[in-house]
Amino acid sequence: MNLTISARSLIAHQVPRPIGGAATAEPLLSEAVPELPTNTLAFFARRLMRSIQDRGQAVEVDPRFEDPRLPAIIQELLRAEEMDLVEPSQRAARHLLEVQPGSPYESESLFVTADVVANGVSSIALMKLEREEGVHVHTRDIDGKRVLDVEVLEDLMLTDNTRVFKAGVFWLDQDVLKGYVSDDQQGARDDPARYFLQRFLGCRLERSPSIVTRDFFQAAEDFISEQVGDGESKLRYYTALQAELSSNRTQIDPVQFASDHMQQEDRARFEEHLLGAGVPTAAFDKDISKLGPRVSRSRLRTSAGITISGSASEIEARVEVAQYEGSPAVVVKDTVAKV
Amino acid sequence: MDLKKLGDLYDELHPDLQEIADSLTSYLKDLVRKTGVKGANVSSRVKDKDSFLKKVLQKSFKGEPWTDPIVECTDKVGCRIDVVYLADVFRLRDEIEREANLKVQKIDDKAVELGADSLGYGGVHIDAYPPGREDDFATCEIQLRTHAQAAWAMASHELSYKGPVGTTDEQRRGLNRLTALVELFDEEVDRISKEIMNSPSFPLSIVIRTLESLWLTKIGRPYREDLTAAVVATLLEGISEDDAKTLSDRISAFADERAEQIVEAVRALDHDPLMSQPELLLIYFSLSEDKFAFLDLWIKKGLDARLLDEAAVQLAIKLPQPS
Repeated sequence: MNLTISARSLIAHQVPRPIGGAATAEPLLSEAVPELPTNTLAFFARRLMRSIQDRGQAVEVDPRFEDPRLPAIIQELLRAEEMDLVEPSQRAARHLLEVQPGSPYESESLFVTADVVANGVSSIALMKLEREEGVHVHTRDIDGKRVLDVEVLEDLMLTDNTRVFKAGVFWLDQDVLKGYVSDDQQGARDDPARYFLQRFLGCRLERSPSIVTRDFFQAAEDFISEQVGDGESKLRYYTALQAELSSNRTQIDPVQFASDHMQQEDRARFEEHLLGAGVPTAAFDKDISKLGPRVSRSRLRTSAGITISGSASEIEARVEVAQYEGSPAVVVKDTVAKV
Repeated sequence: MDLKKLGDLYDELHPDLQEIADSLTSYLKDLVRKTGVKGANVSSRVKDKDSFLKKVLQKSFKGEPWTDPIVECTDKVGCRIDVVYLADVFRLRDEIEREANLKVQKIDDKAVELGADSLGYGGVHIDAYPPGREDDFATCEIQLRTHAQAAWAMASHELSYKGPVGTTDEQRRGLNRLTALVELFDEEVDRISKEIMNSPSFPLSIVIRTLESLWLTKIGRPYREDLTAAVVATLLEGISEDDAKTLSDRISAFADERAEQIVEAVRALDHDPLMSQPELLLIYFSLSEDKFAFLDLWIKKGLDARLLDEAAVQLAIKLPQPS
């Protein structure tokens, strides 16, 4: 998705690591919104944009969720005539401490709430940043109020050592809360590190991974079938698509797929085709449950109407497009077993 | 001929002539812009009443009196287009001749009139009706000249009227001698211009000039010219002049369309002097056109993929990991 973000102000709180599933310490809360240099706000926005562009998924408030605290805090901020980040963001930080699991996945982290503009619309961004060695926060006093040191923030946003990065951007669309969420720790759905979307934000994906995976497969198959000219590329792309879906990887990155498997002249067209078909180009969780045997079995039809079908791996190993007596030909390296 | 009455009639016509002069100037400015002639000055004037009356008298003294001076005097409104290159004088002459809105009546190519064995002023004078006007008194004179020809004409005009009794043969010969320098000057400028345009680096300079101009007007930050030249030369190696012009136009349109986003992106990339440069506009344009092809080119040229990724993020463009 094309989401450009600029940040107007932000506040950071330190959230300690919970031990044994329960919060054992109080969060270190900032008591004022710091005056930040433009560059720091720009770094923040860039880090946020990168995360959303790479892995952002469209989300909506989950009406089945019993604890709507976070959506309420975000809406309260977005509806305020004069946005004051301090108290609502403190509540959000406490909520995070309460819901995050006590597991080796987590370490001491910074929780950032920011007033941002996303694609020209006033929005709220939330980020959770961690580092393996933990975050050593320094504070300073401004007019008797505690504020987390800016250098810590800059360091976290700029360095590649930041291990876990969870982010969300939210805005009101006709009074309905909409947004994108990205999570560097995306994995299996029962992974405890996935608490961020559901238990903390009280949201769900707008489209389930199984639907997105199915739509991606369908759009990619249509593109290969209808918009790729030569047979050799068709076969190669189709084989790559099936390999992608049947691999052990837990995510599909459409842009990376195009770059890794397609010829240069087809890549941008492929991405445009996906966007036109409503398929996100950010990486998404793979779930092939709605594809059935289409993942494991390939079916090719020649221009003369001959159909070749078989397991994806056998097709990949035995079928190729080559030249035979000066004309394109489909070669099946096999013997006839039955008529 | 009653000069007083003729003068009064000219006074009555003056506002209309001024209107014709203004609209013709604006029309010719537009024509120059569309033709792509650079460094041109377009100006106009309505002949003063005394100059008009003096010209009427001179015609009589020469034994060629005008029967209807208001109609027959064709330079009551005069427009001048002064250009850098002699070649542009002829380009504009051809354009004006083709313009359907200007009804051309006569073209005087002074250099052709001089012939092979004379030296003198070599501009092109065109008599034409201005757009939308074909009243018999509305004919205007359009003068096409190089800046050098204009300088000579101005000096010559000024010196010719210095003394009340005119100039001597010796003085006129001195003035005419100067036209040889004007001719030499214009031909050298054209020759050097052609040489520059035929050099392999010329197309690059078209793009660089566009990038620098956009950078200064939209971003207004200092930059390193040598770095811009080096990056553009690397990315656009072998580009033709036509492609460079098309690319420049498209980058300009892109920069206009995405101005706000670009300003924000530049602010965010401020910490990196390598990316806070005019070539960033070329990079953004190319990423928007085909990010995959541009990433391949970037890597092929040995440039750092992380730098490109940093820039791409700012425009909400997702790049793949290079293989």
